Amino acid sequence: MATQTAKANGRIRELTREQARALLDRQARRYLGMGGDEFVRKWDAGEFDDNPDRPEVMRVAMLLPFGR
Amino acid sequence: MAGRTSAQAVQAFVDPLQLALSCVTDAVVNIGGGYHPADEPHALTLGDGSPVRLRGDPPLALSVILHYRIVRATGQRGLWRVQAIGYLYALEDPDGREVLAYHWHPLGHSAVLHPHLHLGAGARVGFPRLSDAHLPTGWVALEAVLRLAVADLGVEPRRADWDEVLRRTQKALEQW
Repeated sequence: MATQTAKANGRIRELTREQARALLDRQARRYLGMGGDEFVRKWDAGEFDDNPDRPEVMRVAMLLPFGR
Repeated sequence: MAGRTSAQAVQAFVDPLQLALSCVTDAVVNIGGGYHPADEPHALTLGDGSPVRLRGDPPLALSVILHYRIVRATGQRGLWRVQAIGYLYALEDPDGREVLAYHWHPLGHSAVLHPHLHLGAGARVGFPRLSDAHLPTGWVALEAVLRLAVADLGVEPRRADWDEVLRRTQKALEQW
């Protein structure tokens, strides 16, 4: 299923694992100023649990499946 | 949405979404390899996860993230279907401030498990507590948000048949 580059079938774009992780990384940097790996580590450690509903946190958290 | 294979089920799930989104944007849905049954949710997003600028006055930007799971279709041996298990639909103003955001994230770390609406800084709500409130909504279809954007928030549709398309895709989704 994964290919070297993203392929678009005219309706959806199927990202490679690397591209999916890059997507998470990009958005984590955009909204939280940290890389995707750092966000995943902190999220799993509960470091955002004081207020996980903050818009910037939720936007990145919803993209977690791209980084796992 | 069902299919003989899990990949077909995902395609059947995503196709109406992409069609609905074509009413307001030419941005493409991105999937990160989520074609197989798994314990963890899969996700898709509009574009690369950054807000997608829409045409209109003011020019709002749309973010869409959906979580889904692939399961056996009940009572139909050999068929797979996709369940939506979370979403984020958000509209931002031209300054990047969130106007409104529909959330449903029952599998995350939040204590708020029901579908809800946030009114962001871009909504310019005067009541302080309201800006942090989780306004209960019930499950909200993406089509309903797109319809709101076109009918009430000044977003210009990209196709003349937007109303019929949204009606059709929402009806198809609600059958599941």
